[in-house]
Amino acid sequence: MKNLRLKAARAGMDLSQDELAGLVGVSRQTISAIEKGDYNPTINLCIAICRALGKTLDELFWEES
Amino acid sequence: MNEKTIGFLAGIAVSLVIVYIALKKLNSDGKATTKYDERQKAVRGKAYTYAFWAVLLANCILLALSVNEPVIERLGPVLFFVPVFIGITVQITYSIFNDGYVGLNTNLKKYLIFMIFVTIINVGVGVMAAINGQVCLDGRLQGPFINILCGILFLIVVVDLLIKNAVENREA
Repeated sequence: MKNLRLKAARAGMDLSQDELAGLVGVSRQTISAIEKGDYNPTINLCIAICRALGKTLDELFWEES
Repeated sequence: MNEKTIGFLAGIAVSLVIVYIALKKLNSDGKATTKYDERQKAVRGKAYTYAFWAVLLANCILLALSVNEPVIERLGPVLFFVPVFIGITVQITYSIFNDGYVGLNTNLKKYLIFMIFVTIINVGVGVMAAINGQVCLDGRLQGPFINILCGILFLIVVVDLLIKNAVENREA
């Protein structure tokens, strides 16, 4: 499932995938894969992304049923 | 240990030193180890699995071929390299096309130039040996043929990386 909330949060901070990748220490392709829903990140990476974007885990990664 | 064995081991030692120096120069942080993120590590793990099965399959095919044809005899020292060549090709190709090959600290431009350089050297050595008639003696492939295979392997890396780069640029 696509993670549009992550994409929106990143765009909201005016960050490119490459810039966010640099902030959290992963490749641009990994950020792209997470946004496309092709890769499920570990909790550590989720936390790093949340910290970089100033969001909580719920806001970016919790799926409402 | 005879002279040939000592020469072979010395060649491996020199190669390892060259690879170590090359990695330090090719990585943007000056370290010899290439860094990968968690997704890339997962991709590489899968690539090694496919490579493992490819090596097993290649060995089985070689064994099957050797039943009726003296393939093993004709391959000579190249025999040991053929399954490895196939395994590495599978590992590299899967990694590249799933974004698990180029590390976080790899300078891709420098890496490509280095690979082209290594390809030319290996193919050059192989071609020179072929001209001198050292690639195949008495119907048996000889050591210099491994240089040609290495050249092809490095060329595959370069072509895979260029194709992947072109696909990414088109998608961007």
